[in-house]
Amino acid sequence: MKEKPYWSPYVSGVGLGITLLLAFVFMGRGLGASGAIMRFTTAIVDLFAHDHVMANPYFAKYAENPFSNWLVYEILGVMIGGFLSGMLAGRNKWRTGRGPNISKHKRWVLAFVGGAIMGFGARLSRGCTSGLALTGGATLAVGGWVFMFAVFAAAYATAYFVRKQWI
Amino acid sequence: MAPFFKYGFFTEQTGLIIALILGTGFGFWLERAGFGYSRKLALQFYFRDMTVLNVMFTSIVVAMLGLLFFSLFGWLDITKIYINPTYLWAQLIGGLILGVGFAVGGYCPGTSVVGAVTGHVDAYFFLGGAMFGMFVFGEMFPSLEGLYNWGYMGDVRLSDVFNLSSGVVAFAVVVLAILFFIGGQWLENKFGKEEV
Amino acid sequence: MKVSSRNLGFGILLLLGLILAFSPVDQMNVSKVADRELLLSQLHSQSNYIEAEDVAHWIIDKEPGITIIDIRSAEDFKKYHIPGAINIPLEKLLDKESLELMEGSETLILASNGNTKASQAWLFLKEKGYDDVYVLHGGMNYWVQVFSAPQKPAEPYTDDEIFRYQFRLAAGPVMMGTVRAASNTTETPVKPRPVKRKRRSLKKKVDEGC
Repeated sequence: MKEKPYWSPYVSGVGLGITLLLAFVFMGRGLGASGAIMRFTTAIVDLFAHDHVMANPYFAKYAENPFSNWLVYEILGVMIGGFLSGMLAGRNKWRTGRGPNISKHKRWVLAFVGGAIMGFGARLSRGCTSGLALTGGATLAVGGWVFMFAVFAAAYATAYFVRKQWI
Repeated sequence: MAPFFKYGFFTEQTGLIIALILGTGFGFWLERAGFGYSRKLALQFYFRDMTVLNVMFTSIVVAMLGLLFFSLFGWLDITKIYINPTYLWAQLIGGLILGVGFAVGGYCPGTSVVGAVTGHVDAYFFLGGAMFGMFVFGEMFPSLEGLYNWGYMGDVRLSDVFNLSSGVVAFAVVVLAILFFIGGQWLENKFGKEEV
Repeated sequence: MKVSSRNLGFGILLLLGLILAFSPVDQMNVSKVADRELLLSQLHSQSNYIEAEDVAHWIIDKEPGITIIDIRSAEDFKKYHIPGAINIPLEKLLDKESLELMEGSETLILASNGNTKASQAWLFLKEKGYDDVYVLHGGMNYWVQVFSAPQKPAEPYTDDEIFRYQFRLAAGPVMMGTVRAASNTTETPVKPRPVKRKRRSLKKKVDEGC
């Protein structure tokens, strides 16, 4: 099936905005992602080093009933929704996103490194672009807006140094 | 009266099902916009694809206007909406770090999940890295605790800080968004929009 | 001049923003009725109660951020009160000094002789906007009864029942003031909490972070 083009960012933005608004209307909260990933991480570490997890005040918070949490169910939904959209558009196929000047494997390494940096930053900020920037932005939370500008500023600044990866 | 959950319309368990449904919408629109594809996300930072900016600000404006208008009509109690607490310096520095990770990794947590389920292999590496990074943070937490709590300001909103009504702030946000949209369009034209 | 759909969208957004800028969004006083219904349902489901044992545990653990408010008269308070409690008779509850006393604490626990007066106080404070307010279940009457003469559970008893009895036995002297809570010559040490027992945790708020 030929890949269909992506939809206009404004249309998708409205769709996303309505979804976010529905979250507020139904639950009184917004969306999020990093929290769910944190819980998966804690659960895995918990399997190997339970006492260590319980001794660490940060992990211990997530170790009790890690999956009985709103965000975890939400992220499962994200998987379903993303897969569905990709399927409808014929975009579900194995590949690696990268620029023309970098190999697949180098890209994988950088993806891991970037992910690690981002994971660390997300926990420090108590949120990521979905939970803090998007949700916090809509509720006009100061932290959300400060965070969002910081993310963009740093990303633009760093982009030059990794340009070989993308362009 | 909204938010329905806080007025006892349904149980926490039902809330989890709603989470699943809302998440499905979330993932759907993220993929529609093309956020499963790391390169498309990254091109934002080379001024070649303003999708990230456009989508983010459109969704923020839509949700924000929705919240305020529903509140104005008396349909929604905005005092019962969760406001992200502000930890000014922690979130500023965390945001800078996250920005670096974004440019290097090409994803953010939510989009990497979408990327993974649509077959992007790099998304899996990104997710693995994210989990590792979060683990490292947890391990280092005792020494980071001061930084983590630096600049706590409570549930403060822009309207509080600037001493303006949230309606005025909302208008300012709309103006800012439109400026970004128009400016973004101009930058895209200048640097050459790439159709990915 | 044909207006592109994009510019039309921008125009609509600007218009909506302008409307908001001139409307009293922040002054929207939420319908008191809706809030009252919520409070009534909380009262009905008894989710505003806190059990005596939980409070005793917190006192022993020196859990921070809790204030126990005894709303009985000053005389009753003098005769006996829960260690660490402050006395604000019900009539004075909404006075300025009283509100100042309650400022710093995160969690407020209201205690009267039974449940009724404390529930009234609970309603007052909830309507004033205090979120973390609870009523001591059974009030002072139940508290005194439980800690000065705990009843051994009838056989066959569950683990839970016997642990609760032993805790009451051990904590009794501390709660009733015959032994100072800070003393380290406790001949009857409090049994360590069994892992199985699910204790009401402070701030049963749903984790809404991300």
